[in-house]
Amino acid sequence: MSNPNAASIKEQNKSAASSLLKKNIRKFLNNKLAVFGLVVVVVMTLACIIGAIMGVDYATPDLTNMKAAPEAGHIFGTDTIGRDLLARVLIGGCYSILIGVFCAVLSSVIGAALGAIAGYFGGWVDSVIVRISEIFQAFPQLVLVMMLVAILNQRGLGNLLFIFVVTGWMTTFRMVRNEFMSLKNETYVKVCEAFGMKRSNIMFKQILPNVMSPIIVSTTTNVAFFILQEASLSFIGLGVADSTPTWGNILNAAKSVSVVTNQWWIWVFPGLAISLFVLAINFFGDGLRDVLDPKQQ
Amino acid sequence: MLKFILKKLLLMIPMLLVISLIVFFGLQATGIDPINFMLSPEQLSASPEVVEQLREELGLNDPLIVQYFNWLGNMLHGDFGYSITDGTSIASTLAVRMPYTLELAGYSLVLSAIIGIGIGIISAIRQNGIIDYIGRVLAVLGQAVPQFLVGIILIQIFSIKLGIFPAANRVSPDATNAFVDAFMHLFLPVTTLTIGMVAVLMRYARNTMLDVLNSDYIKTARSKGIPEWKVYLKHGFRNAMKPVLVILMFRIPTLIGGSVVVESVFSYPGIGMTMTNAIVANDYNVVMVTTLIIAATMLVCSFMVDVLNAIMDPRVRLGE
Amino acid sequence: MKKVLALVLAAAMALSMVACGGGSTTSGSTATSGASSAGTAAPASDGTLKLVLSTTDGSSTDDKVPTPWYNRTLPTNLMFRSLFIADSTLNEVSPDLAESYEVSEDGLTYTITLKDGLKWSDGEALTADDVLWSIDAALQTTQVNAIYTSAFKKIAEKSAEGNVITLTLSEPYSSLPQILSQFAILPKHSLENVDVLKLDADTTFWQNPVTNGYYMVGEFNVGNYFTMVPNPNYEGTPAKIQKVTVSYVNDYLTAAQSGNADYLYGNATDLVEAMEGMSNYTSHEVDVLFYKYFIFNMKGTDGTENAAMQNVEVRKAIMEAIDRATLATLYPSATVLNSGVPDSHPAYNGFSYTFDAEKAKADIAASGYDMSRPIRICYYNNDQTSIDLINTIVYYLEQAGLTVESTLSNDGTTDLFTTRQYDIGFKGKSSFSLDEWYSEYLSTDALFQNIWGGDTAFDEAIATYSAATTEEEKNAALKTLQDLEQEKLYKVPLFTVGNYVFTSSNVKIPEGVTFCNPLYSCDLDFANWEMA
Repeated sequence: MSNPNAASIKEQNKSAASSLLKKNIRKFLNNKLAVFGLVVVVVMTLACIIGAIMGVDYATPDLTNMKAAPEAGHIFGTDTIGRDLLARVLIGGCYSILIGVFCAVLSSVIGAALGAIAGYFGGWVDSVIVRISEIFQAFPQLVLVMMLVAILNQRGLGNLLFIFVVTGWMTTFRMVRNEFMSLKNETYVKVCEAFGMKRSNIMFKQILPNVMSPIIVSTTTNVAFFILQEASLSFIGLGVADSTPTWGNILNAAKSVSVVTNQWWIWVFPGLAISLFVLAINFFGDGLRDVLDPKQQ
Repeated sequence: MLKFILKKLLLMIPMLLVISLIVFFGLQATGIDPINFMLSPEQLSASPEVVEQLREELGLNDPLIVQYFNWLGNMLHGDFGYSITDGTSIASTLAVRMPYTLELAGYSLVLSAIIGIGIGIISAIRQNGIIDYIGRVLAVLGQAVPQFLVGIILIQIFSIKLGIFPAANRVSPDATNAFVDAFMHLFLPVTTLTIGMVAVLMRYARNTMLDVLNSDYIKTARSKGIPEWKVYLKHGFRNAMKPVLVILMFRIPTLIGGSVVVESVFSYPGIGMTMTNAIVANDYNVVMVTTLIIAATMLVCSFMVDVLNAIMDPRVRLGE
Repeated sequence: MKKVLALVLAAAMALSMVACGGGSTTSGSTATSGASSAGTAAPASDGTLKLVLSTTDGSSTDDKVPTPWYNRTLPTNLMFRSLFIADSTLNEVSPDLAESYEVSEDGLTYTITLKDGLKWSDGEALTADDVLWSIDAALQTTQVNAIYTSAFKKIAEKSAEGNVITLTLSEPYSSLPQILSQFAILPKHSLENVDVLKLDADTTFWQNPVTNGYYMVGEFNVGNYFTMVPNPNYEGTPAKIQKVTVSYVNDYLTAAQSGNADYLYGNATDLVEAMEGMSNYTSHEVDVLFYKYFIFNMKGTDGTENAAMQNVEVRKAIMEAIDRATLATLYPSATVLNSGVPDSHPAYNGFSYTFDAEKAKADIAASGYDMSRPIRICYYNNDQTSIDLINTIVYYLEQAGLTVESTLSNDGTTDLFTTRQYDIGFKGKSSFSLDEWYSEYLSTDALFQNIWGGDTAFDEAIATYSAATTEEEKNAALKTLQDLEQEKLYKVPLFTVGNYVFTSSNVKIPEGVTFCNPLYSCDLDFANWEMA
């Protein structure tokens, strides 16, 4: 017997989903701060990428024009060896945003996968992974960075990415694990299990989508966290090599007290770039949370 | 409950062992030879026998695993060894620096808890009021400006321009009153650390308090005609505090990471600066010990989180 | 929501305005910025001289008085004396602990008579034995300036009879009195039982050292400061200043701006510019041979080579690729150098490396250097000027078609041979004399034999130079050394940089005092310094 209603139910579901999406978008758009955040993030990222594609000259020192205040030729002024600061902030943005996004996404993926496994299987698998996560949580990031620098004998971008991912997955992990522990007892999971669905399918196709919202939200805020973390590491002298212009490395000029007092543009522009981006990401993340995860406010 | 605590405590031992293994072998892999720091290059090249003898004495010729257990054994006896770069006893270094860092981190923790939770709750109660706005702005800014920049700016304003607070160290040579001196020296670094912490706590406290205030039992309490302040204090605050306390504990690692940066900005002679200097100087004896101590502190914190959780939510105990 | 946004922006603006309030109005002219901070920054002194020691340059840690055997800094100069005391050129010496000295005709025997009744700060007598022990200990310990060891190695015999010390050299060495004018005598009775290797690390001694100078340590507060109080057993004219505090800081400039340093020194542009802008500080330019130079990592004594740097053409091309005259503008006053001998010196041989980017590129290509292999530079100064300098050098080398990796390391010399991972070390050296610069080339030099494989090419010329007594002989020997230096290209000086001492208006320095190289010791007439 055919069921003429089946198709229309699907249709209805679809239209319900799309109206939910529309509603969510409207909700998001109503949150002015979140929209502001999104706009700033997009504009800054685009500016940095365009700068990189245009091949702005961030590397040529001009010792006859060092520490020049902002002027027509150099809107942000020049740094301590006469390189154009606008170009450096743009290229620095590419590196810093790359560090933030790459590490946030990858650590979320790792955290979510491990969290799903630990939460779903429980038992000894769970305790082993939890212990591992606690060990990583307890390990000072600095020491890991230092060991890698010493072992590989270079202060490369790769080191930093690796360390951030390795030490950054635990928060997502805990969150996903807790969600899984409560969700695995839900009826729909039991039903799937009764149907003999593959465990990996249940974990990643059935349960995980329900946990996606908090993961997405925490990924966005982690982007900000990693960008700030990179700046701190550069400040202590364990970041990426100086020749790579990350925002942290550019801001490092603020170590020099005389630069802080006499050449404000050298640190204010990269400082503003970091703060503005981090701010915007946080606003955006908050907006997303409101939309995706209403119970968390 | 006791069994739960005991089990958690016992679990810390293998974890510390794993961490010590990672640190020890990781640092071995760096290929830094302590002998290079212990002898002058003169002696290094002049007398290979002396070098060999010293190696033998220090046990550097033993298999790595033997060296590891020797080191671990010494640690357990309270012998933390000596710095390779300047030969000072690590135990005596720690005895001076640990209290300084605990002071810095401790005050920041307490202060940020009071301010963060306080403003968070007030913002929740008076949602969209002026305190709510100011609080949220500060929260957002505190999270957005890199900590070391905050420190540098504070030094510029309060030490150099205004000359109120000292820019470095923990104790002044001409201090007449130890308490005042401590306050003056701690003010800026503690403020720097607190600004970052407050931001997170405030947001979290505000959100949980809002959740609680919107919950059914608060509505019931209100409908029963219980005075508003009593509703907030007895029902709202108490219930909102549980998750906030957990978050507070979770922030301790960030606090320790932050104090590494802040100590270096303020020339503050704590354990964070000791570790940074040791890292830059490849002084791996000191790096190993400081790492283990920080790791142990972190483990104790996460242990306390677990215990707190267990006290508040008996299901956790059963789940384990 | 708009309100929040507006508030955020307002707060952000306020923060940045406050932060750079002083700076933004004075950007460009440093003079006024100093004046604006002068009013608040320097509280009137209370009769205490405030000194600072840096914990970031690796030469001292904040848990002990730094050893006077490595760098001589003002605090240790005020506590430890030498047999002689130098003038500001570090060349002319007059007696200090010694009463007089004589040199034999052949220049091989020095007879030094100590003053009578010298005492250590703990009341023990200071005897010839202390002097002999100090010389022996300096030869054995780890943390010691190479100028002492290379000089003392020439002492074949030493003996003491009462107050008279006799030193017999194995070869003539005319600079011995100058070296002895820097060499602090330490108390044998407190240190003879300490492990001589780690003499500088014995915190029990170094937190309250037995001294022979104006002061001794009053109170030591680990990690923060120590104070110095007059040494009751000092036999000379006591200092007028009754109390000195020495704080351990990360940054000299912050210390000065917050009124905590009455004396400091430096050569980095940001420090010098900012200090010269502060009206309550007087700047004294000092005459120093402060080299900034490259060392090429060649090979070890065991013969392991750094293949990439073996071709002298590659090393020459690297020099051609760098515009040193432009780089020199990074420093407040730097003079380009072509050898260890300044161009203005009568012995200068006239050769100079010329900057030619095109030629450098062609030469590198012609040398057969594998362009895909990055050149690895390590440097160890962490100040902004050094980082700027390295970044510019990296740029120049990249223009010549090379790829370059620069790494901040802990020690620019030993890292070259302990890991042998770097091709070029970038170093700074506050040289005591031309002697010190060239003695690094000795095949027996403790450090550099590991970097240049103990090449004996320089040995003879160096021996001729140190034995030379007349100006003419010395200059001739120097010319030979320069030729060799430019042929070998093991180390190449970029320039010498000007060094400055700054004193605050809190301290009144007597007329006629000239400051010397701040890392060495000379007569500053300190007894007559007064607090304003």
